[in-house]
Amino acid sequence: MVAQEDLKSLKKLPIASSIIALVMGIIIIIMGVTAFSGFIYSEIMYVIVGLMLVIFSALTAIGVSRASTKVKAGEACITFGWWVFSAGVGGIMVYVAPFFTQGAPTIGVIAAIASGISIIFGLLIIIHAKTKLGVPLTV
Amino acid sequence: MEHVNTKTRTFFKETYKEFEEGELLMSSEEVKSTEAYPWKDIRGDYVLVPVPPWERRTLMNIFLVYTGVLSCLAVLWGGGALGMQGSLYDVTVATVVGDIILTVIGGLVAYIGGTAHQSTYGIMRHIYGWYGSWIFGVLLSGIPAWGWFAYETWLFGVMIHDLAPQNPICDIAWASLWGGLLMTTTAYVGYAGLAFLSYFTVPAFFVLVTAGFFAGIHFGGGFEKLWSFVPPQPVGLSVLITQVVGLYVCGAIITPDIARFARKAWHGSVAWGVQIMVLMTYYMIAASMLTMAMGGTYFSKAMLMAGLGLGAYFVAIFGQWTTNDNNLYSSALSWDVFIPVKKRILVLILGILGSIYAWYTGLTAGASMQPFIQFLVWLGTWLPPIGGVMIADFYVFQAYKGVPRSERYKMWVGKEIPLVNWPAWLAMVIGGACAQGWLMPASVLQVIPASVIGLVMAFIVYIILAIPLDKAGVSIYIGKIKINEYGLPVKEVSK
Repeated sequence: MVAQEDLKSLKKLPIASSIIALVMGIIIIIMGVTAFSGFIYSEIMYVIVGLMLVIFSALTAIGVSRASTKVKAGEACITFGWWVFSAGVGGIMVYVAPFFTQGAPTIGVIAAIASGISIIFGLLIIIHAKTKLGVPLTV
Repeated sequence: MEHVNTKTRTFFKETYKEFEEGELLMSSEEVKSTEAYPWKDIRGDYVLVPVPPWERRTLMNIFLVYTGVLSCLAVLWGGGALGMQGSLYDVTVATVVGDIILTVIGGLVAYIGGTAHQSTYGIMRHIYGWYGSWIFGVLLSGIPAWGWFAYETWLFGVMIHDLAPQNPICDIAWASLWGGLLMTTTAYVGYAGLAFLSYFTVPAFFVLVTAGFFAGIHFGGGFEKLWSFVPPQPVGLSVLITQVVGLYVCGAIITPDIARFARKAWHGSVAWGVQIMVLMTYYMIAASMLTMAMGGTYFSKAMLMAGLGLGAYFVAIFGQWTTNDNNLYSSALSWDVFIPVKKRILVLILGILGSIYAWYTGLTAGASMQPFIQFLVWLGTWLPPIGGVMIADFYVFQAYKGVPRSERYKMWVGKEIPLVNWPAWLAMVIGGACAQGWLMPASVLQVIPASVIGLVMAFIVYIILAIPLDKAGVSIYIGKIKINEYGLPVKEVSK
C-alpha cells in the first residue's frame, strides 16, 4: 500500500507546478486586458490563452490534491499537464507575432516568457507523472 | 503470440495490486472480467478481439483523441465553403442543426463501441455477418479512409509548398512524401500514438486557429463587414445542412474505433457529442466568417500577414497529422479483419502506398485527384446506411430479442457468428439507393440531407424485414462460424 505520507510528498511537485502555471495565466490575462484594451483582437487572444492556463492549471491542482492513489494523481497530471503544456505552446507562438503586440513588443515578450514558463512546468508535471507516479504518457 | 503492451500491463498490475490492498480503482466486476480475459491479440491493437480492461482509457482521453481527429484543416475548409453559400445567420443555423444530427448518429454508434469494446468492423461481424464485415468494412473505411489519407497527404504538400515555395524539401511532391511518412509513424504505434499526438496538439491548435481567425477578420475589413455580407453562390438552408452532415457523417459511423477504448459505455458518446457541438460548431462558424471577411479560407495567409509564421507551420503540420494518422489507422483496422498480417505491417504498407500516390500526384504536372475525390464523395452517399443498420440492430432488434444492453455483441471463445445477415445487406442497399435518388423523389432529397435519408431508410427497412421474419420463424442469418481465442473462425488460425 502506498503510504499516505509518500503520496502527499509525491503530490507536492505537480501542485506547486500547476500553481505557478496558474499565476502565469493570471499575469497574461491582466497584461492583455490592461495593455490592449483598445485593440479587441489582441485583448481576446491574451484572455483566451490566459484563461486556458488558469483553468487547466486549476484542474491539475484540484485533481492531484483530491487523488487518493498514485494512479489517480498521475492520471490528473497527465490529462491536464498536457493541456497546460499545449496551451503554453500556442500562446508563445501568438505573443511573438507583431500583429498581437501592436506596438508594445515588451508586453509580448513578457507574455511569451510567461507562456514559456507554463510550458516548462506543464512538462515537469508530465515527467513527474511518468517517472514518479508510474502512469503512461496517455491515460 | 499474445500481444499486450508490457508497460501498460505493468501499470494495470500495479493498479490491481493497489485494489487488492484496499485502494479501489476498478469495480469488482471489471477486475473479475480481467481475470477471465481469454483472448489472444495476434494482429495487434485489438483488431479482432475486445479491448481488455487494462487498456481502457479515461473520458478525457477519448475526448482528446476525437478532438485531435476533428482539429484539422478539412473542417476549416468545410466551414469556409459554407461561408461562400450563405449569410452568417444561415451558416450558423445550418452548422448547429447539422452538428445536432452528427451528435445523434455518432453518439448512438459510439455507445455500441463502448458496450462491445470492439472496433467498427468487429461489431459488423455480429450485424452483417462474417463476410459482411469484410465487404462493408472495406467500403466504409478500408478504401475511403485510405483515399482520404492520400488526398490529405497531397494537400499537406500543397500547404507546405505555399508556406515556403523556395525550399526544395517543401516542393509539393517531396513534402507529400515526407508528410505521409510522418503521419504513418503515429498510426504505426497504434491507439497510444494517436492519443499522444492529440494530447500535445489540440489546445495549441485551438489557440492558433483562433489567432488566425482574428487576424483574418481584421485584415479582411473587420466584423462590420460580416453583417452586410451577401454570399456569391447562395443555396438553401437544407443544402447547407447536408454539407455539414456530409462532411463528417462517415466519421460518425466509425466512432467505435475510438469508443471501444472507453472505460464506460457512455464515455464515447459524451466525448463525441461535446467535441462536435462545441469545437466543430466553433471551427465551422469561425472558418465561414473568415471566408466572408477575406473572400476565401485563407488561414495560412492571415497567419502569415499577422507574423504568425511558426504558428502557420504548426497548424499545417499538426492539423493534418492528427487527422490523417486516424484515417490510416481506421483503414488498416478494416483491412486487418480478413488480411492475415499484423496491423502495424498493414499500416506501414498502406501508409507508404498512400504517400507514394500523393508524391506521384504532386510530381505529375497538371495531375489532379479530382476524379478520385468524386469517387470518395460518391461512396459517402452509400456509407451512412451502414450505420443505420448498425443502430437498428443494436437498439431495436437486439432489444426485441430480449438481449440485455450490456450483453449485446458480447464475445466469448466459441461464440457462433453468422456468415451473412441478408436483411442487413438488403436494408443497406435500399438505404443507399434512396440516398442516391433512385428510390426517393428529388423533392425529398432537396429538403432532407441525402446522408440522413440513407441512414433512416436503412434503419426502417432493416426493422421491417428482421422483426417480422424472426417472428415468422424465418432465420435472417445464413451459415455460422465459431470464433476461437484469436477472434478468428475456428479453422482459420494464422499467427
